[in-house]
Amino acid sequence: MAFLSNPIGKKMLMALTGVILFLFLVAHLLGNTTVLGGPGWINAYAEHIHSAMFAPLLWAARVVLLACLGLHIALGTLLFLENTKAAPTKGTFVTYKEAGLSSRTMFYTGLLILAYLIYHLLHFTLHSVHTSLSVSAFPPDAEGRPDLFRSIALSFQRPGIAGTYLLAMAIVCLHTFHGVFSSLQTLGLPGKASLPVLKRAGQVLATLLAAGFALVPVAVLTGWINL
Amino acid sequence: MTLDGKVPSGPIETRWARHRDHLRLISPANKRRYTVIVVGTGLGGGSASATLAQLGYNVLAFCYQDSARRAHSIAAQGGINAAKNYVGDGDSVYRLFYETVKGGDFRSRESNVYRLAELSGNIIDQCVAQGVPFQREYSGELSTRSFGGALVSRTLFCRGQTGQQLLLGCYQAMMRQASEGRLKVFPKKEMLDLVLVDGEAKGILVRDLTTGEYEAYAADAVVIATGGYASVFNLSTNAVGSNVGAIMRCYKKGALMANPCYTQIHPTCIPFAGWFQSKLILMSESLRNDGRVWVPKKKGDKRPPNEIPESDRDYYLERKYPSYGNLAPRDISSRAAKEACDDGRGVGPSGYAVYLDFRDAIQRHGRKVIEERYGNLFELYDHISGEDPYAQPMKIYPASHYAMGGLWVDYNLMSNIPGLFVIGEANFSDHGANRLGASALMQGLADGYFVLPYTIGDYLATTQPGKVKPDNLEFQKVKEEDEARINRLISIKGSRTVLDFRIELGRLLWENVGMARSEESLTKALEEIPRIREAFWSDLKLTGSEKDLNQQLERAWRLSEALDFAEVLTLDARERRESCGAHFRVEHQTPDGEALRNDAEYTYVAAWEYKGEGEKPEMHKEPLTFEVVQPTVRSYK
Amino acid sequence: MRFHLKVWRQEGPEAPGRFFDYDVDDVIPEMSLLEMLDKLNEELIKKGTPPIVFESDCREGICGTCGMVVNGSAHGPQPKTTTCEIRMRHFQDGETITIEPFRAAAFPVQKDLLVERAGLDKVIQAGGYTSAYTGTHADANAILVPKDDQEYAMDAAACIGCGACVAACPNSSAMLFVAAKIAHLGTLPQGMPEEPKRALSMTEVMQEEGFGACSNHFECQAVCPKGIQVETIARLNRAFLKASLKRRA
Repeated sequence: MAFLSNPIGKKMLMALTGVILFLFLVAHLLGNTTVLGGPGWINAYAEHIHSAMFAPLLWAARVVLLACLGLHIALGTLLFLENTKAAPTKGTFVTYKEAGLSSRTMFYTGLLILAYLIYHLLHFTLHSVHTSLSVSAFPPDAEGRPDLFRSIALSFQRPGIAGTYLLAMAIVCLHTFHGVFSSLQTLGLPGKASLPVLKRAGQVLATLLAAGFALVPVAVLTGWINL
Repeated sequence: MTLDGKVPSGPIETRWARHRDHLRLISPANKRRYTVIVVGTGLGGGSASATLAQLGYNVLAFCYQDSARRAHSIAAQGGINAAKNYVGDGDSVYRLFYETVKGGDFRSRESNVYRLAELSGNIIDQCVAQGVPFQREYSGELSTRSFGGALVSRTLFCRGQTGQQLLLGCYQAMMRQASEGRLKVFPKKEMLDLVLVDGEAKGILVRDLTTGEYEAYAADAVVIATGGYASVFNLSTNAVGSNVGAIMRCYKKGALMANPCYTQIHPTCIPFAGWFQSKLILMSESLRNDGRVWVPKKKGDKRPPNEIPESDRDYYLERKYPSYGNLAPRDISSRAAKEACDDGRGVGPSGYAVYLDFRDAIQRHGRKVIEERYGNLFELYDHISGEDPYAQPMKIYPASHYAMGGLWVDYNLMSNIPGLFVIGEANFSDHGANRLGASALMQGLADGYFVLPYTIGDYLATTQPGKVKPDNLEFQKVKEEDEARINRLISIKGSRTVLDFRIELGRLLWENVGMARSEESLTKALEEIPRIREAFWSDLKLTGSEKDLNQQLERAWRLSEALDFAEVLTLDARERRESCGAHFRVEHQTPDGEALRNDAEYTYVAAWEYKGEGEKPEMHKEPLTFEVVQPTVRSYK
Repeated sequence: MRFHLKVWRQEGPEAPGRFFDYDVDDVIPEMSLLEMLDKLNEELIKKGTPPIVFESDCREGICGTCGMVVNGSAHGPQPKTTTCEIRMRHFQDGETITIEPFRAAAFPVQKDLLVERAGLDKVIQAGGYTSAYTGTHADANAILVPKDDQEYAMDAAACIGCGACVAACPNSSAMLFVAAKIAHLGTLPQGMPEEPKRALSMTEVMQEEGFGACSNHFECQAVCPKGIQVETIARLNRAFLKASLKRRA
């Protein structure tokens, strides 16, 4: 508890959960690339991770991720409130020199990401929104697997849905643009020489990740991927 | 009054050790029953309060700054001397002692100086243990450099921030004691008065600078470590808050003021740009190794320096002192610059500056070499003045820098008032008529870490702890006097500001009691000071109230004490009809302009006793004897 | 030169403050910002108006007393400068200059531009020292210190405790201040033994004193007049982690 009552302790746990969530995103992105391979790839991939063999792992991952997410949000909110209390006003106008839009909006982009996450889960995991586009609304594919590919393609053909996802990816990019490096800094990784390198690497990584995610809706919208 | 310096006798090498062994001690269990007040948290006050608290005394430390870490010791740049002989160039305690006595122009106490030199090594060990990051060589050993007035390399340093690092060492030691509860720091409280009970120093009265409230603090002994009085000249290298108030109040309570006329003027400061200026910033003296000092030959020559041809330039130091040239001693180059400016040949917007030109050095060595040697100083100069010293000469001017004089103390650092101790720049003890570079830090720390903690016990052992309480009638009496004085300042409601008077006094002293003093100028100053004082007390304009944060009032109070002090300073300068060290009387000089000492008549410490407002103070003499070093003509030729 | 000033004025800690407008004429380019305020104050006093309260002492950038937010930046727009070092020639003639106090919950405004910074002393009291006694120590050369370590320690030790890092930080965190002290002492052999205790307690007290936590905005580094680097914060985080693991074990 002493660890968590310390401002660095809290930040470290924030950073650690953030890194885990980011690593999940990386894994998620790798999975998503199967969409580019066509219905055969993505449907096989989806069936595979939902198979009985992987189910315990999947559930374990879900529990860990949910715990990380919960901690990340709780600590983030706590720190936000504490920091706001420590800095009630910063004067009439402040010129920022190093802090960018990304670092200054972490709490708000975090909230937006949470909102998006709920929507995303309702959409593709729980199938309770856009039910007409959900995987259960379609017959299985030629191999008898749930036709996730069709669900994805038809969803993103709707500009409203694709637009929401693209916007969300922009927000994820904004959040991780500062978040990735900030986590490393909080965990004490940078040295004198590596600090600027890590900072830039974090920003590049965050941008690549978001671009990777954006690729699927863009590919659908542009017709590169279609049924 | 006979002044007993309590200087031990016998071989000088063992005087301090023998003296220390015979000082009375207080048992560890009893120390906590004693309370000591320390006023000032610079190198002297900071090291003393940390050490006294560590020994077990209750310590109350006061400063006017908002944190103990901001005392003006922090601004010292160059370094600290220590007779370590790390580089094997023949340094020794004796040599440091000898050079300090000689540098002080044979106007200091041999025993005190020897003790200082003896303790210099311990100071470095102490500071390193505290984590002071002294400059190191690739071997991991400490670096040293040489400094003015010394023939060996014995100055240790932390870049150009030695004072800062040493002070942070003291401050951190204080904070440690504060966390353990033995030391209580009172920032933003200015000492208004010393409280005597039965003739002994038993407390102080302070004014809380945030609320304006008066507060009384009682103790078993009082230590004054409030620094020097260079600020009476208005423009000095001191902090704008540095003031003579505390030592002046002690003087008015009966403590003797010793050698106030010994004030050091530093020749290389960023120039004076006009009377709006609040202070003068020091530039390292080392610049004169490569820079050539000059002014235009013609009066009022306003051409840019680079357009003035060689034939119209007067390299006056090289002309007047061909053997030493630009490396003439501090006092000589300061006076020469003043003469040139008084002659109307000064440069810069105010006419109070001379050029320090690196053109020839850059031509000779190349810009790169000069950059390596002085890069950071050139940058600082560029930063402040907006002029590139690589392209055009620097403008420099001498500035009041340090006070060798101060309250009189004996070998135990106790003033003539029992229980009143004075350490660091605030006392007069170790530097004689002139201080050598890198010796001020050494003295402050020697006093606070290694002298006072022993000697104060000798006094405390003779007293009953906690005898005086803040409700003692004396506190009430002093409070009424000081409150009346402050109320008087507030109620004048005249037309002139504090700064106005401060400039007037400073200018008068600078011109008449500055680098070159004469019977005539000193007499003139003695006539003018009472006139300024009278104008001050009848025409001062303040705003706000006394029971509030009122910075103008703080300054007015400090200046009121400076006005009284100026008179003692000038009187002392007039009575000392000889030139010695930084005290230069134009009537007393050798044909080639060197200071001419009069050992037969003036080998004494002049200690002034306050005789009441408007009364002439009385001078007491403590004769100086030289058993180890024989006074000679101080020549650096 | 002449300037139009918007200066924050506030009667006391509880009183509401607001900007006051002043015009200052006949400013000399060599003047420092504080000397210009001195000049303005002289004019105000002569008019019988209470002068603007601000703190300063050494006026050469080393004591850390002065500190204001000038045109939206702690210690003004120029890098590696304290407020007292700002010269008026860096401003455009006729410019409007906004001057405010350092703002943070831990730095309550006392009056006008003067803030209370006692929290920084409390943080140092929590371990910003080596517990070396005054007395006899081993010779200063007995423990060798690699030059690089000494230089690194000196870089960090240059902190003047002005609080600009706190003022500039969107969270009013004092992490750079704490990190600098820990980097200074922890790099030297004399300060290493106490590093774990120092890292834990100084950061705890930092929070108790009302300073925020670090979000790695790095505004502190941008305004630090002594160029203290945020890399020291990463170092502090490592020290904290090590100390926490040790405490657990």
